[in-house]
Amino acid sequence: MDFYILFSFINGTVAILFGLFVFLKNRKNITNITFFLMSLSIATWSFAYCKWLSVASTSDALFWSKMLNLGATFIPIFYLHWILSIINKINEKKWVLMFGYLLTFICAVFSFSPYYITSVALVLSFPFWPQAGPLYVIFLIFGYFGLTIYGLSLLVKEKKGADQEKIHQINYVILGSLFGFGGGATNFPLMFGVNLFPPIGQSLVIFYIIIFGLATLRYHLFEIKLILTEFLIGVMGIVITFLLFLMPDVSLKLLVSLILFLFLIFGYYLIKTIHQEMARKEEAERISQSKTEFISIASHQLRTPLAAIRGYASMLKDGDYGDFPDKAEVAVDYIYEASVRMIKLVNSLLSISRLEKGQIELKIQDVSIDDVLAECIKDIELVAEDKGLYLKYKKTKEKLPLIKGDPEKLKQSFSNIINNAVLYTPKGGVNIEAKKENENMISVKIKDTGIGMDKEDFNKLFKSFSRGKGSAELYTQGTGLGLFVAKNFVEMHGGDLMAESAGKNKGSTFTINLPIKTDLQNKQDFALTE
Amino acid sequence: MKKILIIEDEKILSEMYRFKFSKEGYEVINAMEVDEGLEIAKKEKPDLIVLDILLPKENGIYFLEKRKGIAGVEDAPVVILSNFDDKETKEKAFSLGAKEYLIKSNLNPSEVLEKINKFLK
Repeated sequence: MDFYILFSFINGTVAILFGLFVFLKNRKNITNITFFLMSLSIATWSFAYCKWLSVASTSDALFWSKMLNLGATFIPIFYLHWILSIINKINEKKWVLMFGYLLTFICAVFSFSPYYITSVALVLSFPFWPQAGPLYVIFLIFGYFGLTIYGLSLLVKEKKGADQEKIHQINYVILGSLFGFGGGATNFPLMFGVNLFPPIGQSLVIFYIIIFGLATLRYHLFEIKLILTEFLIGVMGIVITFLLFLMPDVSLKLLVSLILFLFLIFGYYLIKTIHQEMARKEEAERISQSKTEFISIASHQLRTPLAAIRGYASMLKDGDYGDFPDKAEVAVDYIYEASVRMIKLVNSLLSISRLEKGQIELKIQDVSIDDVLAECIKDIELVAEDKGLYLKYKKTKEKLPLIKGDPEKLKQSFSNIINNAVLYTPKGGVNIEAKKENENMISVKIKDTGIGMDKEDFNKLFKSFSRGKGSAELYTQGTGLGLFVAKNFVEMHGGDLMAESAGKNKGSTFTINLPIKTDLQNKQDFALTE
Repeated sequence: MKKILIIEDEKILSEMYRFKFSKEGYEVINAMEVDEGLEIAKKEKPDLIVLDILLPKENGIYFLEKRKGIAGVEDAPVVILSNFDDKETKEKAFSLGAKEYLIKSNLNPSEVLEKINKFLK
């Protein structure tokens, strides 16, 4: 019995402390408010559970068992409200929410009547276990199981298409729900006279509130660190202060006071350090956000004059304004090429800012890798020829299967890598090979005889605005954005991009692995504009 | 002779497209802003409208909304030619009946011409 009292007391204490803590972090946020309300319900249930187990008379036990069930009645609806606020669907699901609140209200009004809890009875080693009335059955079906399973199903649906951080957050919430509601559910069979096992799940409920607390604070690594640190320091501080009063003599009191003093100093500095770390991270995020905005605006503004330079140069080249001397023709070619290069750079900047804002989506269709590679090669073979490089594409005898993907983005990924290979290869050439690696993977290898890479280059290879050391010294055309964009696009397709090089001047090999069958969703989107 | 209305506020660009399209044998009328474009469209009944998005006062999306119900303007194919390629704007433009959404800086005037020729045959 003491085991159940202890766990219920811990559950109630943790729920009220954590709930209050989350609420005080942001009193206006609906997620924090609903979490707090859910915690209050859990605390009511837990503390009433303690009291109910401690009383000696049937009438007291009946009262407290009704009180604990009143607390339990509110948990599912606040849970669902909290889930809907996390996934931003409160408005969309307002009718379900209203139904849940109505049901909860009715159950709460009748919670002290025999329709809800009929009596208490001896079950296993519990002298006064509450027995469910007809309304309680309705609460269990529609409230406890109905609302929570509905909330869980929404969470599972939300995982599709969510970013990694959100998926982590949702996984935490699902795990917490299974612990909490699963643990809590072990109390119910006894209410119907089914006593196959004791309500041991009670001890799992504590994990539920902790896991939810972490997820509520938006699964932010630093925030979790801060919350946990503040929480643990607070709890330990209370425990040491409690010990201080329990110490029998003055010398021990002094020793514990000293420990408490040192603990508080270290605790203060630890929390301060984490606060500073968070502030630095927020500042870095703010700067990154401003940079993204700047790139986006600047890119749009740059496009207009560039469109004019490119347009007029192309018309001069086409002879729209009549003939002009050969020397001038070369100059016009240079102007045109420079403007196209500049436009590509601007487009890359826009791609980066969109990638950083998570605004790029895929337009999924059946894609022939053979066709995409052939188009990429067609675009660059003249440049390779001008440099005296070979550009060979080795096809497999068997036709490659079609994959699900966005042809524009795959083309941009391959083009960026092949362009780099040609750009950074002074002699020799580039071999491209595509083959079916296994039942569900196509691999594309782009191997050059170029300037290769050393260890330092590898470290920053796929970062934006980074170019290899040698490439920066020898070539000036690279923007340092191509591989970053390529890697991001390939990963959006569920694939990966890897690089190998035996070292400086020993060439490089880039391998792109793409899954043949994926569950990529087709979203209404527009091709990138490069 | 088929008529093209270009609604574009950058004179340097509208002149460039006017020159290119005229050379192809089209009659080209330029407008600098949406209201002017609507007035000209009502009067001239163009066979195709080339529309920029970022314009002074009202934007290109407003033009697409306003042309609804105007006889001879509502049915004219509209090709968006803009450097602004925000996803929501594109979606909105297509939902309001735009036939194409072209990015000015990514295409030579000859390539723009090829695209619009499709709608003028």
